[in-house]
Amino acid sequence: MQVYMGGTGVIEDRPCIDEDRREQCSGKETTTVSSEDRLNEQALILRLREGDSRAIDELVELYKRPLFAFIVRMINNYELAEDIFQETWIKVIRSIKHFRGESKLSTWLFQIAVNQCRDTMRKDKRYVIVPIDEVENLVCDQTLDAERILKAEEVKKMVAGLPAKMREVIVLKYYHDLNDQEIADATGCPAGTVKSRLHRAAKILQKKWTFMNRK
Amino acid sequence: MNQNIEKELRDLLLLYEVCEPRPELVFKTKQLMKEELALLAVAPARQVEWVFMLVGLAFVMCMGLFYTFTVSTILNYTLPSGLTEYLRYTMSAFAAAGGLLIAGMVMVFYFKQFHVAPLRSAVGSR
Repeated sequence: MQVYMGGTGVIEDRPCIDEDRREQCSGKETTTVSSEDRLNEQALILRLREGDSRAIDELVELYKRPLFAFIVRMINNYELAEDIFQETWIKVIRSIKHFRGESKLSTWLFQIAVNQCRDTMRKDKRYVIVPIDEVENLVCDQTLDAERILKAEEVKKMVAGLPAKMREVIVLKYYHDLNDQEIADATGCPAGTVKSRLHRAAKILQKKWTFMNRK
Repeated sequence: MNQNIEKELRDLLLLYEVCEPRPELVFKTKQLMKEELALLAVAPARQVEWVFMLVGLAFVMCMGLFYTFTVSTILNYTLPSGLTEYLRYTMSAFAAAGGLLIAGMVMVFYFKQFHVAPLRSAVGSR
């Protein structure tokens, strides 16, 4: 499979130029944790279970970006994503006592976010269809060139146009670096299904990208 | 999937960037979570105790009524008149058990309110 990248060939990995903007804006929100982080994570969960409200600040600061980015990419609507973001965190607090620590905390958070997004999409079918959003919502860094912004807009449409279940696995794999098993845990389906969905989604994306660039 | 293809796909997808959530949204979310955490810390225990108390009370009342209308009535007619005195004692025992249960429930309710009120006001003042 050859992914056609338009006239520029390989897209250079050019992040936000301004330091502050780089902090706020990113394409990839990884949640990789070391063993030390894992211990801190467990301590954080314990503190939450004991009712320590300061643990909430730490938890939200740690995961607000990946969780919000995931929801936005799934729902493709900023206003609704903000509501789901809040609901997800409230649900985290309500069910923290049920978290057994068998998976990473991030995987569990994504699992809750996936369910919240699914509920919303089930209730309101509008959000399965790609709404025409403003370009400024797409990229934070206004210093990016027009060509890149347009490409980003096309990629956004491609991702949003995927069936919801394929979008879930693509977003979790490529934007959040979850492995197949973690995606399976987060989405509640077998790892084999995840692999097949990833493969099919990648083919669809490749076809769409080729088609868009031929137009 | 081929490594190169995967890298190309990843590069392509990473063009779709998302801003981090607004600080006001994060702040509001934290507030809501703290309120939820404070309420959860007290709510489940109180509910469990209420349910336990009400089920216990209902059970004692049912047993008392059953005893009064069946066993006690039959015994009242069948037992010799000298023994019916003991029947009244058993009825009093059921009434006492029910009364103790109600008293316990009132005490639990009072102490829970006593402990919960400052916590709720602390959450509200934040």
